[in-house]
Amino acid sequence: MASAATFTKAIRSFRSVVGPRGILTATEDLRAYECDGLTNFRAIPRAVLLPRSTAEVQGILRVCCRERIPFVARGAGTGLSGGALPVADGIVVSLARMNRILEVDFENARVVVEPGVVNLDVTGRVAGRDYFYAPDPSSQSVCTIGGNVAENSGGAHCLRYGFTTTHVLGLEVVLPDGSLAHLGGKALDRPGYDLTGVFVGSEGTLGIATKITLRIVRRPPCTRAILAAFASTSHAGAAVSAIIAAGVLPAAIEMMDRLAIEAAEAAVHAGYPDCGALLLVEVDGPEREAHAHVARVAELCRQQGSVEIRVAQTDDERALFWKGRKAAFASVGRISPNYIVQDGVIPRTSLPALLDEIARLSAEAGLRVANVFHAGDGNLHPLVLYDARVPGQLGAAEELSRRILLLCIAQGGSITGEHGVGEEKKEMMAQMFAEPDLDVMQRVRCAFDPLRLANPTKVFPRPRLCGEAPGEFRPHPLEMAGVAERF
Amino acid sequence: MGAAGPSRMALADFERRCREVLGSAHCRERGALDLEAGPGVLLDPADETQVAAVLRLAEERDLAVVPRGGGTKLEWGNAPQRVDAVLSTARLSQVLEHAWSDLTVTVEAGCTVENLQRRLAQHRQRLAVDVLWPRTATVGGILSANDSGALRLRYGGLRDLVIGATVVLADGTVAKSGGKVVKNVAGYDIPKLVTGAFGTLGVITRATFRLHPLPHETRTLTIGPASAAEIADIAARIRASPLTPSAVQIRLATGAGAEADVLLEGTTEGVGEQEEEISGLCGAIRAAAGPTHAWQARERLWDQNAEGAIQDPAIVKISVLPTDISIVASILGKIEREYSATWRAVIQAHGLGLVAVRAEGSRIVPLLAALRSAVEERGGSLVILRRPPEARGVDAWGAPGDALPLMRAVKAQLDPRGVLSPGRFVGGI
Amino acid sequence: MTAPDRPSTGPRALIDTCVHCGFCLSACPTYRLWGQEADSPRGRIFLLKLADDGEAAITPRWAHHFDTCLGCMACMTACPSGVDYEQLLEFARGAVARGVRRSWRERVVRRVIFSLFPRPDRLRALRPLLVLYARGGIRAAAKRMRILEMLPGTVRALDALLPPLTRPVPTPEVTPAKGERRGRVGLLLGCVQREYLSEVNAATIRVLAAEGCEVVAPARQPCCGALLLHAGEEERGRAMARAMIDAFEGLQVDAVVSNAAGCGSAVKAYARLLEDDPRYAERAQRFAAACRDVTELLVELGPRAPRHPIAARVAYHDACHLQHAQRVRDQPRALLGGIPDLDLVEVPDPAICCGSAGVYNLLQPMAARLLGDRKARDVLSVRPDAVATGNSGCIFQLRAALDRVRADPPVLHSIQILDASIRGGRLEKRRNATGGLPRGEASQETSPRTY
Repeated sequence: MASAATFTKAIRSFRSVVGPRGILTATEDLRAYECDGLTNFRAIPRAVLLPRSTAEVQGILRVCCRERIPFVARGAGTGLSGGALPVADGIVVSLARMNRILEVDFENARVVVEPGVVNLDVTGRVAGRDYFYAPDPSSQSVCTIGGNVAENSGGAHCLRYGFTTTHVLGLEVVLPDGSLAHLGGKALDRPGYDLTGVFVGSEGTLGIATKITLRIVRRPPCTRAILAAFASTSHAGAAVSAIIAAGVLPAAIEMMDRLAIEAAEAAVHAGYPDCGALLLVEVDGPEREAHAHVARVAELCRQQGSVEIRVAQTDDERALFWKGRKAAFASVGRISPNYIVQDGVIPRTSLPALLDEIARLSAEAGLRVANVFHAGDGNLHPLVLYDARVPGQLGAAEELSRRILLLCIAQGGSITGEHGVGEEKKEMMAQMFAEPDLDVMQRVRCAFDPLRLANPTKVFPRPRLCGEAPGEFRPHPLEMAGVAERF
Repeated sequence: MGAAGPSRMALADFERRCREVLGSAHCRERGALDLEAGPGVLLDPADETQVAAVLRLAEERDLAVVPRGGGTKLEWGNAPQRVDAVLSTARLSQVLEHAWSDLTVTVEAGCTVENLQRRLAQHRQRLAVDVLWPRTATVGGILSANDSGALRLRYGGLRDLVIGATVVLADGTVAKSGGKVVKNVAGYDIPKLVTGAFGTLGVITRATFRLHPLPHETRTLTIGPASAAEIADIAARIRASPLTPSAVQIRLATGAGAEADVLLEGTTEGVGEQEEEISGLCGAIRAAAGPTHAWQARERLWDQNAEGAIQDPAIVKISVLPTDISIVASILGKIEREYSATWRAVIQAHGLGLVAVRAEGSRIVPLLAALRSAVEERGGSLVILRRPPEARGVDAWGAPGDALPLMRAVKAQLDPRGVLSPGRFVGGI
Repeated sequence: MTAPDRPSTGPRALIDTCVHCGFCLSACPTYRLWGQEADSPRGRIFLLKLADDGEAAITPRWAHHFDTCLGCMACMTACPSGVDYEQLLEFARGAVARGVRRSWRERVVRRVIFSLFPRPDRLRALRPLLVLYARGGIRAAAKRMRILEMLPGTVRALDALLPPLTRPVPTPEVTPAKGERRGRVGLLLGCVQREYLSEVNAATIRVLAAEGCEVVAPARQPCCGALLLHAGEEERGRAMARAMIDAFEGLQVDAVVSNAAGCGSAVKAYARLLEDDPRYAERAQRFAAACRDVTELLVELGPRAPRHPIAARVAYHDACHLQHAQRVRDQPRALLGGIPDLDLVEVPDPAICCGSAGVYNLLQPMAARLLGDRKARDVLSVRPDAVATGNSGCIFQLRAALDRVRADPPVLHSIQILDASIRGGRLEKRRNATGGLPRGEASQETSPRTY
C-alpha cells in the first residue's frame, strides 16, 4: 500500500475532490504540519488536504478507503499529546477551512458549527444574548471545536459546567469509509447507542466530525472571584477540600505553587502575593447566592490558614486575577529554557500527598517542577523545568514526568485530564488499563474503522486489527511494518 | 442464532453447568418473572467472576440472556426474540466505595437506588438523578434504561453523572472503563456507550458516579392552572433567564388545565431570590408553594390505582426540542379528538417527557403511529415503554436513522453471537 | 517586546523562543484567510527553523509564505512567549532578497514601487501624470473598455487606491504654538502622506499648535525607511534612517512626532537598527527615545484647547502598527472620547489588519482586497457615520474597500476629527471631495472629486 504509484494516483483523485487549492504537496507546505503543540514527535505527511465541505471530506475519505491511505484530522494543531501528529505515508486532513457557524438557536440553547470554528468564536457569536459556550481550554482563542470534540477538552470552568462531551448533543460524522452517519441530534436521548458519547474524546480514531451540535449556556447573573494566599500547597489543598465539603460548588478552583506564581508575575505582573501557594476561586450564580458563597469561601480559606484574601470588586480586577493563571504555562518559559507540560488527574483529596511526592521526586532528579492545577477536580499540570543544553537533562525531565504520571495512576487517577492520550501517552494506557479493558475499546474502534485508517497509531499501545476486511486481501501498513498482527 | 432456539439438551446442559458455578440455590427455573413464562433459568451470580462465567457458558451454547436488575423496566423496548436465561444482579448489591471527600461513589449494579441514596446521605450527598421506583430500581437498570427525571435540567442525565463502569461481555470479558475521577479523557467513553443500551452490549456489574452535595434548602413552586401555551411560555422564559432551577416540569392531561412545577435548590438566600424572580415571570398566573409529591408525577402515570389514573395505558417517552413542548400539547389535543383518547403527560422543560394514553381497542395502534410521526417530523423521538395488548406488535423505538449500520457494527463487535437480549433494541438489535 | 534572557546569537535564539503553541494562529490575517499552517506566524517561524537547520532551502515557495506575511505584528500581541517576530521577519525578508530570484514581472513591480514610494520628490513629480490619468479621461476610458481587468493586480490595486488629487496643502517649516508654549516638537511628514494626504499633516500641525506645541517640520527629511526595511533592503533602510536623524539634527525638539503608524513604528526601532553603527548608535538611541505617535504625545501633554461637540458615531479602526507594533491603543480612543457628543464605537475583530500593511496591497493585491472587504464589512456592521484611524495606508485601503460597496462613511485620520473639534468644524457624514470634512475647513482650496 502507499507505493509511489498509488500515491500519485491518490493525489490526482484528491485533487479532483478538493480542487488544486485544497491540496498541499510541496515540501515547504507539508513540513509545517509535521507536529502539533507537542514538538517532540514529528512526521511528514504525504499530503495535506483542506476540504471546505462535508461532501469534500467524504470524497477524501473514500479515496483513502479505496487506496488504504491512513489519515489524521487536524484542527488548529494546538494539542499537547501529539494527537494531530501525521502518520508516515498518510495524509493530514485539515479542517481549518470548515469554519462556519451554521445555526444559532437561542430558544433551545443550541448551536450547530463546522469543526474548524474557533472555540472562543462560539461564545463570541452568542455573547450578545448573554450566552456562552462553557468548555474553555486555555487555548480557546485558537483551538477548534473539532479538536475539542476529539480530545473532550475541559478548561478551568469545567468543574461546574462539565467538559465538551456534556455540551455536544449531536454530530454529523464522516466514517473512515466515506459514508455519513448522524449521531445524536438536537433533541435529547435519541434512541440507540450513545455513539455521540463514544465519539467525543476518541481522538480522531473513529472518523471525522463535520457538523457539531453544541449546547450553549446562559451566563450567570453574577460572577465573583477570590484570590487566597497560603503558606504551602498542603494548606491550599486542605482549603479546597473544605470548600467542596461545605457544599459550595464553585465555577472554578485553580491553584498555583510558588514557582508558577513567580513565573506568572515575571510575565504579566498581575500583582500576585508572594506565597507558597495561591488559590483562585470563581463563584457564579444568582446574585445573593454568589455573594453568600464568596463569604463562605473566604471564611473557609481563613479557617485553613490563608495569609491573605482578596475579593475582586470589578470585572477588571477579576480579569487581572485570571491573567496570571492563564499566562502560567507560557510564562514558565521565562524562568527556564525548556519545560515539559504534564497532565494528570488524581482524586482531589490525594493532592497534598501527591505534591509532597512530586517535591521529593523532583529533588531526587535535581530538576524544578512548577505546579499549576485545576484543583477543583484534581487535574494537575506539573511543569517540569529543564535545560536542553545540559546533557542528559531532557531524558531526566521526561523520566520525572513519566514517574509523576505513574503516581497519578497509583492514586486511582488518570493519565490525562485534558490533553488526551494521543501519541505521547499510549504506552501509559497499558499501565492504566488492563488488556481486556483496552480490548473492548479496540473492538468498538473496529466497528467504526475496520480498516484502521483513522489516526491509526494513536491512543492504543498495540494496534489490533479487525479480522477480515471484505474484498481482495491487502496487507495493512502496520502489518507490513511488522508492528501488528492480524487476529 | 436461529429462531428455532436451543435444543432442550443444550438448555439442560447449560443449567447443569450454571449450578456448578453458582450453586443450586442460585440457578432456578425462570417462572413468569416479569417476562412471559417460558423455559429457561433464573441465574443470580454473586460477583463479577460468576457473571462472566455464566455468560461465557451461554455464548458457547448460543443462548439468549436477559439481564435483570429490579425488573422494573423489563417491558420497555421490544420483547426479546428469545429468553433462555434471566441474569439477575440482585446479589451484586454493595456500595463498594463512597469517596465522599472526592464526591464520587463506586457501587455494584444490583444496588437499589434508594439504598445508594441512603448511604450517600450519611455524608449529605446524593446521586443527582430522580428515577422511577427508586426502591426497586437498581443502578445497573437505571443506567441501562437511561432513566432520567426532572433533575436532569440542572444536573444532566446519567451519561453526565457516570464516570466509570465495569461491563461483562457475552464472551466473559470483564472490562473496566472510565475511572474514579471525574476528569478523565483516557480511552473511549464506554460508560456512555452502555448507558441506555438496555443491556444489549454487556452486563454492567459496577459503576462509578460523580456526586453532588445535598442542597441546604429546597422549595417547590406550582404554577397554574392555565392553558398549555401559557404554561409552556412561562417554562421557556424560565429557561431563557439566568435562573438555575433544578427542575421545571409541565403536567398536562385530557380536559384539565396545564400546570408547571419548579424545584428550587440551594442556599436560603439563593432559593428565596429565585422564587421571587419566578413569581415575577408568571405575571397574572398563579404561582404558589407546591406539594413535594409533584415530583412523583412521572411514577403516577404507571399507578393505575391513583386518582384519575388512566387504565391500561400505553406509556411512551417522547423527546422534543424545548420550544416544541407547546406543540406537543396541541398534537395531543388533536389526537385526543381524532381517536377519542384520554391522556396525561409529564414533560420536563428540557424536552423529555412521558405520556400515558389510552384509546379504545386497536385504535391505540394508529394513535401511536400518528403521535410518533408528528414528533419525529420535528426532529424528536418516541419510545414505547408500556403497551396494552393491542399494541403488542408496534415497534418500540421508531426510525433508527443512518447510524443504524454503525450500531449494528458495535453490537457485532461486542456481542457477535447475539446473546444479550436479542431483538430488544433499536433496529432489531 | 522583550526577548527572554538568552544570548542573541542571530536568528536561532529568537526562533527557539517559539514553543509552537499556536496561539498566534487566530490573530494572523493570512491564516484567517487561507487556514494553511505555513501562512501562519508559527508556520513561518518553523520555515525559518528549517532553513537554519539546513533542512529547507530558500525556494520561491519558501519565500512565498513570507511575501504573504503582512508584517502586521498581530501575532506578537497574541504570543504568550514573547517571540520577537518582527526581527525574525526582517531576517526572513533579507534571506529572500538575497536568495530568491523573482520573475521579471515581480522585479519590475518591486523596482517601481521601491524607487517611487520612499521618494517624496518623485511622488510629487508624478502628480501631474496622475491628474491627467484621473481627470483627463484616461481612467474613465480604461474603465469603459475594461482594460484594467487585463492588467496585473498591482495596477488595478493602484487604480483602486488612487487618492483624491486635491491640491496639496503646504506645510511650513516652523509653526508657532498658540498660547503658552508647552514644548517644541518635530513632525515626520511621511512620503505618500506628504504628497497625497497633506491635509492630515496640516490638521496635525494645527492641533499640536493649538495644544501649545511649536512644530518643526524640516522639508529635507527623507522617507523613514520602513518600506525598504520591510522589503529586506537593509542597507538602503539604514541609509534612510541616518538621513532622517541628520534631518532633525540640531533642531532641539523635545519629541519627534509621527501621525502615520508605519512610520512611527519604524523610527522607534532606529536604536536597534543602527546599534552596530558607531557613528550613529548613540544618536539613534536618543532619536528613537524621543519618538511618539501624535496621539501618545497629546495624551502625555494633557488636553488644553477646548473641544467643540461633534455629534457623530465614529468607528475607530486600529492600524496594525499602532495597536501591535507600538502598542498605542488607548490614547486615540481617549482623545476621540474626549470630544463632546461623539459616540465612539469599536469595530468587531479589531486585531485583524485591513490589508494595507505598507505596500502589501500593491504586492499582494488579492489577499489585500479580501482583507479590505472583510474590514469594510466589520466596520459597516456598527453603522458608523465616520471611520477614524491613525495611518494613511489604512485610510486609502478602507476608502477603496468602502467604495467597492458604495458605502457612505468617510474615512479620516483621528487627528482630522480632533482638529475639527478644536476649530468648531462639522463632520460631513457623506463622502465628498474632502473625504468628510466640510468644504473650506480641511484645506485652502478644494476641487471636486471626479471619480
